[in-house]
Amino acid sequence: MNKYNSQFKIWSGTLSAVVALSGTLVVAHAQSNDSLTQRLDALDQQIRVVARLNEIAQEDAKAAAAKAGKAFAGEGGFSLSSADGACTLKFRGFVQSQGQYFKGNAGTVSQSASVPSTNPDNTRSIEPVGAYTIKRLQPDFSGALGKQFDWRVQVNLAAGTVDLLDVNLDWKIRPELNLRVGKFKPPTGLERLLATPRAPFVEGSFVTALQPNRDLGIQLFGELFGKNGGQGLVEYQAGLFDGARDGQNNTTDNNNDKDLYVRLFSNPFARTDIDLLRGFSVGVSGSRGYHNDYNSPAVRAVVGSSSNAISGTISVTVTPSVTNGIASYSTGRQTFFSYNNTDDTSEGLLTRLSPQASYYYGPLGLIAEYTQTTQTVRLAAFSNDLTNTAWALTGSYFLTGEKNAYKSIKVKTANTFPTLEGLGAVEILGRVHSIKIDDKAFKALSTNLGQRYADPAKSASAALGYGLALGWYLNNNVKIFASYERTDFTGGAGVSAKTSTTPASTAAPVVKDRDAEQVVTASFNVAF
Amino acid sequence: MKFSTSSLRTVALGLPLVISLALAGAASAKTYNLLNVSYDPTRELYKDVNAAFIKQWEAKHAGDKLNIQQSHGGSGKQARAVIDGLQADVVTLALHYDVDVLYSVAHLIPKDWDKKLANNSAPYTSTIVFLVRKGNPKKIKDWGDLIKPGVSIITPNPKTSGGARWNYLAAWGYALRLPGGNEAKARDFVKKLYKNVPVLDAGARGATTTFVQRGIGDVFLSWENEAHLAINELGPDKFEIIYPSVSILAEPSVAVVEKNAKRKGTTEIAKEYLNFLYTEQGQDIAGKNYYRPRSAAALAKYKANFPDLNLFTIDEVFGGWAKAQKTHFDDGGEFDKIYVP
Repeated sequence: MNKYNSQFKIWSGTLSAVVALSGTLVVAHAQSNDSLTQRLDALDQQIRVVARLNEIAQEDAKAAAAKAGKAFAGEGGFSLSSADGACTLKFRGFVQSQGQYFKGNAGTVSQSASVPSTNPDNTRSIEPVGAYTIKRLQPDFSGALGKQFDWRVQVNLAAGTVDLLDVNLDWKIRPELNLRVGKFKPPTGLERLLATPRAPFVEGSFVTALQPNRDLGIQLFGELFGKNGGQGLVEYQAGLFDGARDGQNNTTDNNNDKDLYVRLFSNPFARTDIDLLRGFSVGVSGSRGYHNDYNSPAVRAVVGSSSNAISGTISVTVTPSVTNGIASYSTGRQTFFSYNNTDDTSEGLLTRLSPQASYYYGPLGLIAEYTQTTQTVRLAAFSNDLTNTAWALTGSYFLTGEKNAYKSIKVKTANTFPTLEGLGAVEILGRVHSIKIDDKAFKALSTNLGQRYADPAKSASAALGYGLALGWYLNNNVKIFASYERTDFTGGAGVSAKTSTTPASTAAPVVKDRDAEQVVTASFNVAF
Repeated sequence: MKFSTSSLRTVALGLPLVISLALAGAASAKTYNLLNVSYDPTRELYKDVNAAFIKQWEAKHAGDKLNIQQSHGGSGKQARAVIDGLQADVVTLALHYDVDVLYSVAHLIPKDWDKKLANNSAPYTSTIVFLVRKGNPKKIKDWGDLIKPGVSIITPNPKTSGGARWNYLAAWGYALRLPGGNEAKARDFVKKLYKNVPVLDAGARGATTTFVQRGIGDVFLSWENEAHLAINELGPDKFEIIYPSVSILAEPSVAVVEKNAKRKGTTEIAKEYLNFLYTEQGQDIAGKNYYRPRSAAALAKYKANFPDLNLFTIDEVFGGWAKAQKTHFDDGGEFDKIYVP
């Protein structure tokens, strides 16, 4: 029994030891698992913290970037912008290099008193000089100062001098009402108001020749009947300007009379579903103002006499100031009409009326314009209202299918030369335009047949131009352009009446038509 | 400068016509836009408030339209944005001080802005609670548990977040009110607390993301409403709210940014908008969004969400927001000394 007892004790002791050992091992194992889990949890937290810190750093960097100013360079130019886009500085530009090639004796020069006996005409035709020139070199700076104010400064450096084109500030009050002050294009015609890189031909039409280029003044403008922030159905401009003569880039004023300009232009079918109508726009502009360059009010004020008790009567005599102030007209290459001499001056009302229309449908674009300018012109004791008129029809079509538009076009596929994958955009253009000078400008004003506003043997009374052109947009910035244009003139050559007044001339002028001007123009244009 | 008679006549006839045409559209289109610049956790609250107020306002002003935009971010950052030009018509910020700087720094509001509306222009209150993971694995019951080793706390940066300043001051106030508590002990307590903060977000919403979405930390010092929103969004099986023995009475403040509103012609609408917060409807919306309403009726309705707490105020413990801000949160203040990243 004792033996069994001792064996039992041994076995039970051993079993207890084994159980105890097993329990210890299980507890140790469990403790080891808990420790491992805790370490894994701690490691997991550390990883999560690092990831979150990285995430926050990225968010902070993004927020900082959103607050930082932005620099942009692209086909639309170069710009700097504040983070919210409210303040910007843009640099754009236009460079136009051209070559002209004339055919025949298109140029005309006036001869001096020593006219060769073999050529009795007062003027003679010569072959004009074809030349390569920088036609336009126009850096253009613009920007915004806050959300309501825009500004612009554009100059032309092509002539080797700084020719100020635009300097203006816009106050954008709301879409319907904005204010522009400074120097800029007065509201006139469609071609004149086009940005230069979009002008269809290198030289403007005769319609544009009858309109001022740029003037100094103040203008209200906006779009009416807009919907949901979109384009308005009617745009308007109305402003007061110093007063520029036809074609003039005005820089100053010599009188207190201002020219009033008003323009209304409507795209009446802008919201219709009929595609054929949507691109039709029509409008009219007009201006009126007094231009008196014969004897400016400033000079008139000191002409006459005054008296006082001390010095008695004081007489002041001033020679009338003659500053001309009337326009001459050209094809852009040669002047075909000008008044006789500086004795011809503006003296009275200048009015302009310009109905205009445009139509864009797919690759097709048409612009039709008419302008009538009436100016009181004085020569000696004779003062008359002279009315000159011009019309123009310009069409363009993109053979490569680009959508034609007034303000800008987008080239579908940029040129990839020397590979043939992309051609660029190819546009064909055509233009017919005409100008008619008032007959009264050429009529003798008295029995002295030499006394006329303009010499019909030197200045043409009408011109009709027509031309074809090809524009090749290599991309949205570069365009190669070539055109052929012919201009036929009525009058403008022959033998002048003698202009001497003592004795009065009795010999009528012999008027002949000038030779037609035929010119091929090629230009290389870079706009950004 | 003089104009010829005929030019003047044309101008006299033409320009008024043009201006009349231009302004005709303006006269008929009465659309008002209001911008409420608020702090991080109020997105849901003001979404509901705006919808209710617009409905009520447009019913009273037939044909007119009102748009209300919300802007949210860290309360201090939002105040700075308004000072820097953000065109807020009203501000609804996390604390009195952040509204007050609109007067003291930029004079965009009058000096007595907090007297313009009841309860010092604080239409609802809130407090700071603990949001812990379900089961409260670290057994966190009170502020004292937060400074134990191994406890990871999520709270935003008090330099940029209004909510974080409430958290900081609640902790400081708790330590001060302990038996034998004093400034030095409170500083030491808060210093230990921030040693347990692994991530310092800029705002309360970011901190919520850190704790709830990213799964970081054991406890989130949270606006009471943010804690409820987290539970509603992710389920009561994920988190639970712990109410400490003592906390701070947070009084988010509101004001019309009078200079902006006057310029924009929205002063009256802005005033109506803030007054709406005090109406029974406005108070009910506050209670529904877990902000403690001032209205007894609304408070009773949502009683279950707002257990009674021992709350102390800024004035009682810190002598007001201006003093608390200068002592603790201005550059070189206590927080800068305590917290070294």
